[in-house]
Amino acid sequence: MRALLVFVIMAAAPVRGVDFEREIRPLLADRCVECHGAKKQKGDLRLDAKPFAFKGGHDGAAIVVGSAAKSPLYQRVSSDDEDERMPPKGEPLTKEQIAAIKAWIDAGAVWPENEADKAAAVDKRLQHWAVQPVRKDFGAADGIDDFITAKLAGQRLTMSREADRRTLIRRLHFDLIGLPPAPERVERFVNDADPAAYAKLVDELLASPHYGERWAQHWLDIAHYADTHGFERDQLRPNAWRYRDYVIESLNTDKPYDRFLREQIAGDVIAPDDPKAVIATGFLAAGPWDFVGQVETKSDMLKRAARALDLDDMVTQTITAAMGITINCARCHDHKLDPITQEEYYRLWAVFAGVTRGERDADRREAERSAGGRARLNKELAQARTEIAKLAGDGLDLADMVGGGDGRGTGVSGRGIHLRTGNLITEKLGYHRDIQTNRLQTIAWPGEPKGALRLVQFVFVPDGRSPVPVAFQREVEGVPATSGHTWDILRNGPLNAQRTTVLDGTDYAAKGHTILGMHANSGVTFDLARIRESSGLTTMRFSGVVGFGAEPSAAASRADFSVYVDAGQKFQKLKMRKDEVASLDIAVPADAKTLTLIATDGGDGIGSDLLFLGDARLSADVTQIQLAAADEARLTRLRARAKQLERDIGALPVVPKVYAVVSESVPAVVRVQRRGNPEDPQQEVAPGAFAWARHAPAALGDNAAPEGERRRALAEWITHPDNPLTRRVIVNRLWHHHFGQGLVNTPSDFGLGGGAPSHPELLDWLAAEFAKSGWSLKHMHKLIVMSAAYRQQSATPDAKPSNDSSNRLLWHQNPRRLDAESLRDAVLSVSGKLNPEKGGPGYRDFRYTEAYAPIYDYITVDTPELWRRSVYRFVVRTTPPQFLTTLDCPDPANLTPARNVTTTALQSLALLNNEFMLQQAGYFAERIAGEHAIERVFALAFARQPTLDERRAAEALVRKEGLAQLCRMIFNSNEFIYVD
Amino acid sequence: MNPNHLSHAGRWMLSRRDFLRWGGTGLSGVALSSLLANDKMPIRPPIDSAHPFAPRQPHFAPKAKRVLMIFCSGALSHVDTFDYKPELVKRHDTPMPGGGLVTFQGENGNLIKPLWEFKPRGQSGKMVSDLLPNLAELADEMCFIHSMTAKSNTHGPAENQMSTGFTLDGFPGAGCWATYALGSECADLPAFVAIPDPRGVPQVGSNHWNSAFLPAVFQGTAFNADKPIPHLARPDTISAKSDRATRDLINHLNERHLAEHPGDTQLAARIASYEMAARMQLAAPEVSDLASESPGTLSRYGADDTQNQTKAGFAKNCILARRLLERGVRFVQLFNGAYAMGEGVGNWDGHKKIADQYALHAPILDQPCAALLRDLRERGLLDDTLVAFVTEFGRMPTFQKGANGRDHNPAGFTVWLAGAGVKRGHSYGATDEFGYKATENVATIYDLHATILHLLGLDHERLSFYHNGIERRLTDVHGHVIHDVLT
Repeated sequence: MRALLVFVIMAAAPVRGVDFEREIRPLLADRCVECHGAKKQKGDLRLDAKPFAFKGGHDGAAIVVGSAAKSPLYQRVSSDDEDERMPPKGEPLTKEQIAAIKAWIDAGAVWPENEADKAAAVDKRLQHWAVQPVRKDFGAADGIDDFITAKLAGQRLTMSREADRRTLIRRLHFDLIGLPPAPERVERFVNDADPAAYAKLVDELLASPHYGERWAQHWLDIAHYADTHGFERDQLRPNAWRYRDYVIESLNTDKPYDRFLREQIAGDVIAPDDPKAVIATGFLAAGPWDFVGQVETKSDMLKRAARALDLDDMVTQTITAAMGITINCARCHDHKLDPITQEEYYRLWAVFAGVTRGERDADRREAERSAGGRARLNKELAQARTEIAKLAGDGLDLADMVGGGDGRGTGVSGRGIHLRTGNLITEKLGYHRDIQTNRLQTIAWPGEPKGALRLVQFVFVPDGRSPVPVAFQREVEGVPATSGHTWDILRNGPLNAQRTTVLDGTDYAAKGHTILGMHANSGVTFDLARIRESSGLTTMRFSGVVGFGAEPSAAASRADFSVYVDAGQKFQKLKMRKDEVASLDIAVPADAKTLTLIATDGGDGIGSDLLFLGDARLSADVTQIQLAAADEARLTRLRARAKQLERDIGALPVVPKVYAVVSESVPAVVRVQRRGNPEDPQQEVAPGAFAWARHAPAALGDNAAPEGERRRALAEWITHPDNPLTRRVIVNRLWHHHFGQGLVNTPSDFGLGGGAPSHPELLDWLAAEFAKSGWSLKHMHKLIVMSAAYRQQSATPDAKPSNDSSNRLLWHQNPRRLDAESLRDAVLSVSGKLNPEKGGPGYRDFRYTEAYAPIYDYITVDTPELWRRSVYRFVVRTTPPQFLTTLDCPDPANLTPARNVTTTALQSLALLNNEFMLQQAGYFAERIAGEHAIERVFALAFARQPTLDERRAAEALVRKEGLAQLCRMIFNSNEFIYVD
Repeated sequence: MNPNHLSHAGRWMLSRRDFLRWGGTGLSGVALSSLLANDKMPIRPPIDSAHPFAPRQPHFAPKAKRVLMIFCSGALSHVDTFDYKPELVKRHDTPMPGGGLVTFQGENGNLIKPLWEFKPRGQSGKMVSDLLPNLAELADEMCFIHSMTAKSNTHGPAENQMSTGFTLDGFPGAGCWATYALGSECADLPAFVAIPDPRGVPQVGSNHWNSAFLPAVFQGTAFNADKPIPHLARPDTISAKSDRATRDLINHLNERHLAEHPGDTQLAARIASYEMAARMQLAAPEVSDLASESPGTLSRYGADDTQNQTKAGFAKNCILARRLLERGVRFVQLFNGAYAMGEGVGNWDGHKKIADQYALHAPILDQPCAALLRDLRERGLLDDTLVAFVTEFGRMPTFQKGANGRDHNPAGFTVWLAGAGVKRGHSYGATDEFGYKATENVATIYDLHATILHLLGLDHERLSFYHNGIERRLTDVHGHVIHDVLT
């Protein structure tokens, strides 16, 4: 001990004593803190308080205690290199100052703590209001109006008077159900003597199925829901709508909000047998997905980049929607404003590491039942076919012929025929377009020995818009119209990019089976005369199965398949689904000359139309074979049974699919990515949330935890009763939509960069009330709309109080412009054309053209199926309908907590001249034509009667220009477009 | 009352009252200097909701008042146009050293020399190929950046990046940012006009001009010489008299409604928007009507070419671009190439038969675009207009294996600037000896955008919009102004 002490004293001996407070602290403050202090942190270094100074900066420690020589602080101030030397501005430090720093560091860099140092050691960000527990004690205040009135009184303000009943009923209708009130309902309400008339109206609207339709839109905005993938290959998601319907139904049934959230994050884990809970996970899949980066690209680097975007999107959406925290800033570095580390961000990735987006069965049990039944039938069918083949002989294989063979296995496996040149080729081809359709291409047989069989006569790209030639001077009718494009070719084997070789449980790539790949759009004609010549067969039967070789998770697609014997159509299956299989059993008479197979694109482009035939064979007809009578009877019976089985399989119910989460059994290990670069992985992280919200442990299991359990844990963490954010965020969202701005006016950002609540106690009171009600959204709606604050009139006296011109304190209600969808719905409602049909696949107000980047051309909405409520629109992510966009309908690439409200000349032009608006004005005029037309117009559109002056002006317009012009005018008026 | 704080709290526009109280016609001198004093603080332009396009002051004195961005969709090959590589000629049809690269469509074959001969041009002697002979003659006007790099080798994301700064969908176009910052100098026309190619729109379509999270008022308006602004014209079924009577009544009713809500700026703004619409209905057809252009002008641009309809169509778009710039439109984005027709057919995506494809496309671009540049110069517009000629990425110095075309190459490509504030006849940066990778003064699209904003008098690090908790910028958190290209 003594020896050690002596050593220390000896080592410190040459060091002169330095008074930190007198010599160092003022020096740092004077020469360093300007760039390394509270205002600026060059190199992430601060020297204005002890904890920062010793933490160091971007390049590590600045002060190495006991060694000035090793301390960058000393190195930099003492450097001879002008570029290196600190401070960069002004005179260098004096020799004495430099010496003082050296001495101070060498002596152990003693830094006595003062108040500022102590304060700096406390992370103020942890004291941010939004992460403090929700208050429980509100003193005497009880109810929304107590809080509002108290705040107003503080500014010597008072609430405005209550709006009249006509204004209130219109406001309530648009707020709660997004549609204008019927004139009859308005009159009933206005004349209702019952003091509870308003409350009755609120209950009635909250019970309306339209309530869910209206409020689902707000939630879908937050989920950036769309019915297509987005990115450049913006393909369809035909089963995404089930999630949209789930949201509507959940809101209508007032599903407790915590359960609503849990189901959307982990419904498939919490209740795997409940189709609704499974569909709920469509939430996690709602955002964009990059087909090129995820599937198409050959580059692993691009795949990793695409996956990184995918996980970032899921994490961001979940945390932003539920907790109003913008976590994704921490992807590249620790969050700049909020105390969220980069590692915490990647721990959230680990929660979703085993989640991908894709089509899945919504109802597991039904799918299993159906698959079981299907498997049994398929097995029986396969047995019957084997028996038939045994009795009737194996026959000649058409795939083999396409490979250049005789039908008995002499063809080259994998070889195909080029549709443009007719060459037999082995290399795989891709996308063809600009091919001349309906042009017969004879087959070139280069390199084939003389006398090769040449059993395939022609190939072609069919298009039924004109008669399709299948052989010389032989055209056929009934082929569907096509896009005229195609992919790869015909093949003796799987096509280029074919993902599966299994149809109905039989793998046709297995021994004893064959595959004839036939991508849409393609046609092939076989020469029956030569086939008969080479085989000796006469009357034949053509048999086989046809289906898709596409991945089940690929975009949904339909295709058609047709068979012609000579010019006669012998088989056709139109718009076959990807999961369907068709069986072929066709008689081929002894005098038939050609057999033609045609695959076409089902009218939705050629994407995923990887059709193939399994065991496509020509075999001797039973009547031509010398069979014992018993065998013949058996063969007939077997054929009948096979036909019946095919029918039974075809009649099996379709199991509903949904675009939602698909779990991987072993989630990938997640590592922190330096600067957000997937190519620069760092330390491994385990599933977890962020520690800032302190209501529950942030760890959510280890890396051995199964995929689903991680999400379940996150869902529990988010909906934990003590989570300080989840309840505050949702009640604020409701408030935002009822008042036009939230108590916190950044509804998806409750972090340090967001707005402060105008009424913090009220926000907490609402959050507490929400918990008490069992997380009932409808309860909260009712509380809010019953308040006097909500019922105030929006019209204000000219002299606005200068101390709250933006109305944060709510001394009046805010007039609000209808959002794009509500405006469209209101127009349809008023014109009488609104189609009330609920749920199901979205209406498509566009023409779809298959292309590398699919093309969506919007059409004028002038048929009843397109007159449904806007929430049922099939939302195309990359190509928005211009009319709605002009009205601030958001881009579903983004999470949208609050709609922009802009006013532009293009908007005015769209409302004045857009075909939809003009047509609807016409229908509106038809609807109200007759007596009291003008009164009806005002009643339907404004929920009131015209004034004398308005009536005169309207009559004059109608007299000169007709009713339709009046209706057009009404649709453009502020009173129609705004809710007072 | 600092509008910065207001918009930080989620409000992008000031109420008229706040706007007037705070500054009047934009950033007042005092306010501006107080903002600029803090050199990190984001600047969100104060916008009068009733006049969102009113001209606003830039952050510092600008060199350019407006921008013309010419966008060649499909990736124009730099090694066949502006980036001369003698080594490529020497090593023609030999493997690229260290090659064996797998790029977007797969494996690459040998190095292939430029398919068009390079010659020295103008006083600068800049080597430019014969593919674009008319543009080549203007080499002395151009400031080439040969060391461009893009983040994606896929058209969609790369187009996104060149126009919006981000490879993802959902970000505002550069033109939206410019008009958000500066408003417009033209009261009767849209502030930002996108002019699609006569053949259609580029791969990511309206992403180029979408306002995304910026207010829709700053969205680009797409029209060209063939296709007018949607819904601009009064429908044929409605007579002028009838239309006027209807709109008078709208106004009457709206004024009445406003009287019940005195001082409501949004309602007042809607009334103003109908007035603006009426002015635009007069001004937009006028600007699109080329009848007042002389036959000489039409012929210089090639707009009278009866043999090549696409070229004539693009030439008309070029004239339209000039007319818009003349009238003070802030940002014009002129597209050459479209995607609906497929790879290489209507655009510069020459994978398979680049010689044939480019021989078709080049004449469509060359004469009209060169005439536009000359016309701008002759009318003095180049003095305060910045021209940026861009494409989403470059092409490989090799041919693809088994094909006669070049694959995508985001590692090095060329763009050029001309006009206000940029050096004439200057070249900046370079690719390696084959034109494969940018090696000298490597530039990013962020740098290019930072430079464009700088020329408009805007600090790219400070021009921002608060969205979902993030101060969004055109240049994300990157970008450096390329000072070497500035005069």
